[in-house]
Amino acid sequence: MGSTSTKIKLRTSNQKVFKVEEAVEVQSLMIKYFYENGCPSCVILVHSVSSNILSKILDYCKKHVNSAAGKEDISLEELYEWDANFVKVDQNTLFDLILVANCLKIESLLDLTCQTIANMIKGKRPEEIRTTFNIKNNYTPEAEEAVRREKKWAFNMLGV
Amino acid sequence: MAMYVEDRISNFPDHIRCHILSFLPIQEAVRASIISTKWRNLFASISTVDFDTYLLCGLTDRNVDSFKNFVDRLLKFPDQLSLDCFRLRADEIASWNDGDHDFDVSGWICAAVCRGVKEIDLYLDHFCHTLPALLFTCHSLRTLTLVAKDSKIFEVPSEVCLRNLKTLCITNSVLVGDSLNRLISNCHVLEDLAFDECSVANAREINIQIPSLKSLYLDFFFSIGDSNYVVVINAPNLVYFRYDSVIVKGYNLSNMKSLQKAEIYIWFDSSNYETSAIHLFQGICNVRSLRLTIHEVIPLTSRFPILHNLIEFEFFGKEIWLVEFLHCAPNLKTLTVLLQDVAGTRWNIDPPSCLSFHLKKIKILDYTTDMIEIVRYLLDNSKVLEKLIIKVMLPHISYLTMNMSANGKSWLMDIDRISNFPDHIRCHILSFLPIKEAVRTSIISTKWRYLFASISTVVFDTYLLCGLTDRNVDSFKNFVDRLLKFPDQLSLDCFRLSGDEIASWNDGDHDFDVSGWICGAVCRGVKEIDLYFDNFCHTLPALLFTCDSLLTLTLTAKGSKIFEVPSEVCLRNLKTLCITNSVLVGDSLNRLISNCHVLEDLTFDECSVAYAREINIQIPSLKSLYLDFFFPIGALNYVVVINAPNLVYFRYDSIVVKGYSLSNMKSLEKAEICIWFDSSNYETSATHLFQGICNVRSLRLNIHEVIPLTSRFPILHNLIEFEFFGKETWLVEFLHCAPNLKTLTVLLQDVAGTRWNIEAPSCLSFHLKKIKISDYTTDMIEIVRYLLDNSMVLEKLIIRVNAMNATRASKARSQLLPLLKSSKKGLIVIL
Repeated sequence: MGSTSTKIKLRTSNQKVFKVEEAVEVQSLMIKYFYENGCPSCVILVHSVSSNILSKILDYCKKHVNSAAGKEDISLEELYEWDANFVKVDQNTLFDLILVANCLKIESLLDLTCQTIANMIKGKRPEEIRTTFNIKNNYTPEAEEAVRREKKWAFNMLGV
Repeated sequence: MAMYVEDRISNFPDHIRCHILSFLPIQEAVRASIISTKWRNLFASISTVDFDTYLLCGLTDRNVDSFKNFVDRLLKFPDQLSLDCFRLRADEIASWNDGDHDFDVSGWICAAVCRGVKEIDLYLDHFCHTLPALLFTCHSLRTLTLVAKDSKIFEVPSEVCLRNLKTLCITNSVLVGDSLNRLISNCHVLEDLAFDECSVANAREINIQIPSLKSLYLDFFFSIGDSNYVVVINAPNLVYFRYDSVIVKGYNLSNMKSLQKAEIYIWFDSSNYETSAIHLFQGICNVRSLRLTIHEVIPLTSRFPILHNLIEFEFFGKEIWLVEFLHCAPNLKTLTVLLQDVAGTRWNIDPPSCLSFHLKKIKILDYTTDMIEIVRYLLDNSKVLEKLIIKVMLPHISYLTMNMSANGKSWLMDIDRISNFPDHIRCHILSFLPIKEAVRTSIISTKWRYLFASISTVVFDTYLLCGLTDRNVDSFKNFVDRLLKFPDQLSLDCFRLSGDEIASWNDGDHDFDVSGWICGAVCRGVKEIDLYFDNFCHTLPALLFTCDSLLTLTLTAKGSKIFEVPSEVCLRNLKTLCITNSVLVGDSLNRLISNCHVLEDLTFDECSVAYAREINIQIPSLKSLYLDFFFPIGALNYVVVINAPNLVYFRYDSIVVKGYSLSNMKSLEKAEICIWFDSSNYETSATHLFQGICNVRSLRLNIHEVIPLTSRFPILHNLIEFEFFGKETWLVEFLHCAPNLKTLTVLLQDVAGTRWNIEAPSCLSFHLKKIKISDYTTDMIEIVRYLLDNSMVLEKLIIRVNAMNATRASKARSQLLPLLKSSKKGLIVIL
């Protein structure tokens, strides 16, 4: 399944159509699945994603495929550093990346982005997490207290 | 040899074969007449005649006459079956009707009418002079579709009687005077009437009085001339009504009692008929679902009707009008708006009653920031709102859904995207957190409350367990019980417990039911179990050893205790098994792996074997085998039997035991052998060990004694890399057994400084390219000299001087230098 035979296209919500490059083919289980099930020509709708996000995804796939294939002389540490810089983006971009990685089943990217979100949660008090992600606290004070009591063991440190 | 095959299709009844032909383009259907005599006249009976542009364009001067004859025969001989459908799609027919061709379209239509056609569907440039008067009195016609390409006047004859017509659709035509009324005047069973992209000119009245009508579609989008006419509609059974038009002089709509859905798109011209629009709304006042597009303002006077039945309202227009209109829709439940000309007015008029009692769902399309005040007004006054969807006009944000609580007056414009992610993504995020932090997220909001229960990786570490105090240990135990023991949850990927001091908490006070936890994990279909304990005595439930879901099992004990394997073990899907720091008594090792038919990776690290008679590892799927029986216990009079034809990696650290039977290691790439002898003197059995690994390509050997290199010692033909830790004397002799060796790394012990002058092994002469000597000391000069003198193809020699002190190191260097200078060979490195 070389890039010449690629017929799968991705369409973003702002109606841009991307040809799937070989790098994404290699990384995306979803596209592999389409090939393996004899559906080599179709347009996958990637909802709520701008073309910027998709080209970023493409960068990621290229970097990882090239380094795995030895086309690019990059050490594992350098790749980790590249990844770390890759996810230094605003929250919305990060969420978009998660949704696309999930939709196209690019597992290493899903892990990377989810790990990044997890790092943003780690060590924060619930109040801080709510602020970080604009989450509305819809517990009643009584319900919140009940949940806290129920999971006392988890709340006994960090002064929470 | 000829074979008789029945021709079934030709013997099908005519009507079936006609039906088959009706799916073909007509020229192919005609071509079928050539198949056999049985097919000759069949096409004449087909009931659907479809001439399209493609067909007509294909005609040339030479065959046009033949085609005309054919059509005449097909349509004009009235002795044939009645025609279901006559379809002519020829948008350039005028250009062929240039005298040369002269298609008699009008005649064709007459013929179709004579054959009792039920459906006529024409797509022509225009209908001037084409439609025969006969068409308008056709009693057989049920469906008439006329689509003109250019908007020309549609000429309706004075006498029209389409009394069986059910569907009439006219597109792209100008209807002059009372021609529209005349056209439908005798359609007493008409159910579906559409004038699409049409215009009305010089009319005084549009009069549609059809009791049978269910759907009425009036699109008079292109206005021609004055709008000083009146629209009269009397259609008591109308269900769907669409009206796209400039507002005209007057409306008299009555009796629309069954109206379900109306789509109204109106605008005003200079005539200022705003008040007549009120009459239009009076006509549709029973509607349940209304889609209204209006860019101007209809005065909401007292004569504007109250739309009591209106439940769904879609509005495209001005903000100001909307707010006032809501007072006229007291029972509205769903509101969708796309606003224009947003003024940003702060609304403080009386809230309409629909907001207080009925409106449950609001959807705002293409939200921009200047709509904040209208959104605030709707939110502040909607008492029963359940769902607010705001579609933001930003490329990368999709729908924003907010569920309002009963008293939810406040609202967020900052978008909480993470809470609306699918559960499995949020679980995936939580799986990167320590379990304690994952649980803590349940307090964030109700959407997060039970999420942690679905996480697929459960890890309890020492840090977590040490943090428990007497006060919260019960809460923790409850949590674990709920997490693991309720089997209705998703399957578990991984259960990891590293509590090397768990014994100290299991002091009666705490009493963790580790065994029960493991059972819970097994019941949840766990794929990986990883336990790090003080020891496994009495902890591992029998259930663990028959777990079908398990793919990876890692058991690490802190103290080397006996590992009790139950009598029945069946880990039939296990791929990786790793046991560390345990004593395996009797045949417990064999029993443990007895049913592991897909095992690929088997490790016994820092284990001991006691009272065994045989270690029997016969696993065809095995790729990696790591046996470290470093701590010998008891007698060594057992035999190691390994049958693993696909083994790639083999490591064996042990005292040499009574016997070895290793077979079939054909794929072996790398072996790491560290053996020694005790008083039992099983030196010869070591030869059998080497026979087993004789195909290995890379060997690391650590041996301090000497295995007799008898004639039974194998020649390692495939050996290319050899790392050796042991005695100098044995090495020199061993090289004869490795004829193809390319790389040699040695760390020598007990160097005697012997001057070697035995015959040089063949690997030195032909293959050995790289030698590395670690921890060089001055007494190794003779072995270096021997290797240098006899290596004919050596490319690289690396000598790492044992730098115990600087004087010794420089002494070693000065000793080596003359030797190295005298040799003429390649690259030499001294480190």
